[in-house]
Amino acid sequence: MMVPIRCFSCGKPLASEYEEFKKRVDKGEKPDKVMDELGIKRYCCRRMVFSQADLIDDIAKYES
Amino acid sequence: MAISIKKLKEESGISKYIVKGISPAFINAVRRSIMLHMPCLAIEDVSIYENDSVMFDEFLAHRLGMLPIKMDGKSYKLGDKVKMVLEKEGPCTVYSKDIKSTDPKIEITDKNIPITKLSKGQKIKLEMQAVVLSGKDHAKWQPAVVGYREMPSLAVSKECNNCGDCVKICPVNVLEIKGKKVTMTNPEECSICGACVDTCKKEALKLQFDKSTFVFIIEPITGMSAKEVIGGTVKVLLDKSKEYSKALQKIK
Repeated sequence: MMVPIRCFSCGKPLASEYEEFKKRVDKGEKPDKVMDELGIKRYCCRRMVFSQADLIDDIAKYES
Repeated sequence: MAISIKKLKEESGISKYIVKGISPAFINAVRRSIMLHMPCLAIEDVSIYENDSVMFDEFLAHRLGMLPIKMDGKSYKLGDKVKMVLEKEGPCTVYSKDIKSTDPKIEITDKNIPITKLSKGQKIKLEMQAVVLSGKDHAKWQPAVVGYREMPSLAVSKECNNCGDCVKICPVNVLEIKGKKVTMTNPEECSICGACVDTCKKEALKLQFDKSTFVFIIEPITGMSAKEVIGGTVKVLLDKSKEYSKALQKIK
């Protein structure tokens, strides 16, 4: 629904990095480079931001 | 053997140390104490007065519990509680900076964590209680991500023909050919993937480990410095050992 606050495996808080990651990737930057620059090093953390699908805006449409 | 600790450079919040003259059991005790026994703050109870957002109450409470909170270890002890409030009206994204704490010294470390989204007319109003507990109770009270590995070194046999395949394949670039011999230039960066050993056609390479030297990696996640985390943990370990020796003395 929304990006998880921490990495499931190691517990590092990542949610604050996600918005910038999304913005930069949407602009056309390569995801791996953006993650390196944001200090997301371990592959457990990288999959958290990389595989995130934001669905809250889609769900919000159906809320009465 | 005397214990010696050398600090390597700190990079994006991750501190690395080389610890010499220590047993695997001892360094593991330090690691596990950091993970399990170091007191830390996290939101535990959430009273929800109003929640119109699309996120369920439980979901919201769980997200709030995961927030990293900065705490100074001097004025807060195990079991202490702090009250926090969050009130917001949409349309907006609710961030962690919107949470107001009753103690100005206590704050959410990361200000830009999105908690939920509110559309027009939706409101949330809640009260939270943060408690000082340790990682033994739940992983959200874990103050740092910690790990260690034995110091690796590369043993090169006579079969090596200096082809340079291992230098090319190394993903962390720690190998170099120095004076017709493959050497590991900075072994603390080696990730022990073993790609060099696998790629060698002559089977001339072997990874060896020093069982008394460790690369200790610590990444604090709640706003404390690595030194504070380690210092606090050592104090907890000492107190526990004292308690243990007291109990031992009672045995006749």
